[in-house]
Amino acid sequence: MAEPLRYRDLARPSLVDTTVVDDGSAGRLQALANTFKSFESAAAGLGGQLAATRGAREGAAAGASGNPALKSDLRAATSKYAAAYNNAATRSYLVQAEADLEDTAARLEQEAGTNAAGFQQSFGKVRQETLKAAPSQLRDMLDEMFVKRQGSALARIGAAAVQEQKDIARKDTQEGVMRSVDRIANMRASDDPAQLAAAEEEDIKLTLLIDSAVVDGTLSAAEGEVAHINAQRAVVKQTVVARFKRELDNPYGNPLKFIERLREMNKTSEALPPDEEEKLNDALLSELRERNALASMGAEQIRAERQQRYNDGNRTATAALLAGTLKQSDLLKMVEDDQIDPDTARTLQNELSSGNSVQKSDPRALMTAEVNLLEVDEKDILTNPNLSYADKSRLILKRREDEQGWRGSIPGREAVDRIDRSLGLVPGSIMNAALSDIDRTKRDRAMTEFYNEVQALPPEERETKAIAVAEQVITKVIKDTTQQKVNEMRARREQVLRAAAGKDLKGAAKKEFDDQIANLDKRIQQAEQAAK
Amino acid sequence: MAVAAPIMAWAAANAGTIALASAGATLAAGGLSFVAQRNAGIAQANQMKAQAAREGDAARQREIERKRTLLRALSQQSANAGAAGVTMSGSLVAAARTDIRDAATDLLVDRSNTRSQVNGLTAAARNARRQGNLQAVGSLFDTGVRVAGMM
Repeated sequence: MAEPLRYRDLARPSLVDTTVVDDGSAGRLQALANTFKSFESAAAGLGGQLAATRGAREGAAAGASGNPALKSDLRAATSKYAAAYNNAATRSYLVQAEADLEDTAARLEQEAGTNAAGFQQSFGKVRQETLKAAPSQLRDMLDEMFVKRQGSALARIGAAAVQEQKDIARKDTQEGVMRSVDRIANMRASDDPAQLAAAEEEDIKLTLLIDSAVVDGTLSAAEGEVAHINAQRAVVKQTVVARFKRELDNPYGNPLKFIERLREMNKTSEALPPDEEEKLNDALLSELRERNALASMGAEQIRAERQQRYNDGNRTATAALLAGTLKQSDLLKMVEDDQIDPDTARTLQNELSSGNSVQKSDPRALMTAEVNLLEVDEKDILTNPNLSYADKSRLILKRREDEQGWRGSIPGREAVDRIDRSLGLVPGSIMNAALSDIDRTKRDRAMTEFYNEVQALPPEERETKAIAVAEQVITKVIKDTTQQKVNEMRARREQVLRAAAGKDLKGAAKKEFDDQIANLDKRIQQAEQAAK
Repeated sequence: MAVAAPIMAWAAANAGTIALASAGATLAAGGLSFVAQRNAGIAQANQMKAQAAREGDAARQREIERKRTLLRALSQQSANAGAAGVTMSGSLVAAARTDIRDAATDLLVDRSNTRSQVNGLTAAARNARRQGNLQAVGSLFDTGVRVAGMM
């Protein structure tokens, strides 16, 4: 029997599949990890930016405070906060340091002026102290700033020193030229031949002085040329002025003729340009005016001295006349010695020769003179025919005394003037013969009251209260005067009424009577209003 | 330079508008990227599912073939015994039993292999979809960060 067919002959055995099917979990988890990585990166970036912002803010504040306290290089390399802090602190510190450096350097530069060594020393000291206090990381940068600033400052100081030296040299040259010009002008103004020869030598020196200034660079060539021209013009001008002064000093000189001659000469001369000629003429006229003013001042002084002398002489002679000791020969000598005003001398001579004086003064004239002592002068009292010598003497002495007291003061005189004005009088017109007796009496009464009131005050208050007292007197006098007028008009009205009583007035007579009464009523009313 | 100057001036004058337009474009592109990443994951998942289905079909086909082969072997054995005038007993029955056991074993092994492959592919499909979603979310996050950086 043949071998039967077996299953294994037809089918190979199934083996367990050991291959692993990729189920994608690795990819999924990787994707998940990537997502978280993204989250982490974003969060880290945000955190880093926040830290950098905070670092920049704090660094800027620390740098501005002058003590940046920089973070270490390792921290700056690994931390955004530290890196930003260091950057901001460095920047802020350097900005602040540069500003301070600029201020300090400017101050030291100004203090040093043109002293370069002094600036170098003081600036070096500041530099040393600043670098010593600065953070070590920033010293190089700071030092570089100092070196640059010092270099620029030294360059400026050097230039200023050169300029100063040049200015001094220019000033010296100008002064030398001016002195030389003065000397030449003075010598040329002289008529002495030796002086004229010396002027020529001085002129050569002047030329050499300007030329040497051009050679050593003090003046440029153009400036030297201008200096030559100006010096020669100045010599001409000063020579002319010096000669003009001599003309002024000469008693027989004619300054105006001198100026005219100069103008004529200038028409043909080219020594000075027209504008310079004009200036020269102005200078000469100004000199002339100055001389005239001085002469006028001298004359005024002489006049014042003579007036003072006359015043003293007048007083002395008047006192002698009143004392009865004045002689005609004394008067003559005083006139010859110019010790007395000739008018006063004539008046005194007339008094001496005429014996124009009464034995007893007129009481009315005496009162008027007494209350108006300061309104008249001594001459008026002396020549008053109604006063005796004794009263004249007393009044004049009293007047002199009053002049020294409150009555002679400005408030005292003003008070009197006010009283005059309130009475409708021209101040100072009391001795005017045209003044009516009524006005004179009214004024005398007001003045008496005024003087009595002031004299009742303590001496130290009289001057200050004089005007106030005068105002009170004025009010009282005006009121009294007005009331007096009212009374007078009322009396007049009564008189008119009495005259018309019992009469049968008609026609024109009646009209005249009515007008008169109406007029009086109106005036009474106005006066009463004024009195209020 | 003559042409660039007015353009630069216009850009400087409209810097705010340009920044807003850029942010809008970035946002739109980020949205498109999100959708594309998600769709890619879904497509890959569908592909894995189809492969798992094909693996199942192939396993069933192999099972049919094995059963057919076993029947053929048993039929041959039965035919040989009938021709020889012997009954199916003793060693013949033992041989048949062995063949049947071998076939059953093969079937079990194949089924196990197939189940393993189908499970793996199913899991791969699920993971592919999740991976796509994660990548889409990551893309969207990046877009957000970029847009935030423009503001």
